[in-house]
Amino acid sequence: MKTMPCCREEEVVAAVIRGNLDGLLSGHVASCESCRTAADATSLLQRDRVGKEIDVRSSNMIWARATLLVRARRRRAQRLGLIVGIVSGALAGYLTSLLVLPSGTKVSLDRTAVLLSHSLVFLLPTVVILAAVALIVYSDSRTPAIRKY
Amino acid sequence: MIDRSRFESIYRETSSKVTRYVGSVIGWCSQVEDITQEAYLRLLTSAPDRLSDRQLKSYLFTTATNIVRDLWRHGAVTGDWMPLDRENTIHTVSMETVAEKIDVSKALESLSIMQRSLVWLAYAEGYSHREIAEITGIREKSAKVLLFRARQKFISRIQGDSALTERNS
Repeated sequence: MKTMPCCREEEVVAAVIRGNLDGLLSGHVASCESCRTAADATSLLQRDRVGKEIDVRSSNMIWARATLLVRARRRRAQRLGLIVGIVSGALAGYLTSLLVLPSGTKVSLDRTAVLLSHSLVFLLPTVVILAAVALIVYSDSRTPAIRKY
Repeated sequence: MIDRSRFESIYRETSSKVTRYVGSVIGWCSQVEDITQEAYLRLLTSAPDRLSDRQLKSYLFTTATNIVRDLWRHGAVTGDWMPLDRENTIHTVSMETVAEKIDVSKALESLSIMQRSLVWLAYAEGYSHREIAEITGIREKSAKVLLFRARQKFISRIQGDSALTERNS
């Protein structure tokens, strides 16, 4: 027998769960194949749940793990903020030096390599940026993450 | 992060429900407890504070469903995610006579993972089609049709088991 989903299914399921499938709705269920199977499935699963208590662990461990995780994330965010600040400062200095040295000349990316080889002014920010990236990678590897399956 | 007392209350109310849901969807194995705990951990670390208790409960089921889906993608959970069959035939048998004899969990095992999830959310937890669609990440219309097919298969399997039991007794 082929049937189609009925628009009153949710109403029927809710009534079965509440335990008051009666009157008009009961009449509808008797005449509607779809709602009858919905009512049957609901009563079977509701009945199956009764008397089957599940042992669950205390919530303390989950709470403790979550607290540690949130603290670690907060620390990581603070570290990242600091690193972003340092990198921004270094980049600002780097760009300023490009504009200023040698004075009066137009900024060109082609000249950057030449300037890098001649002056610590350019090397220093690069080292800072690389160190910051290394720090980010290091802190990332030490932050406890939610388990990846 | 939601406060401790609220978490305790939600945990008390929902932990066995979520555990039972995961157990019904993937089968009762050691992963059930891990997945349940992971769902609560994500609730604590990622769920917005402003959600109502009902929304937090849905969030838990959604998270548990996502974790199961991830596990299934990585091959850690066996079975089909979506059903392979399109139609099921129902043989009319009185449910009153079969209710005491059948094993519901065996009937659930005959369904795909998605079908188990839909059937459990709808008929054990009483979620509406819209809520089920949100939890499982599918459209409401699809949820309705998939649920209908899953239910047909579930009932068909139960009635088949019942007929077999009656023949053997």
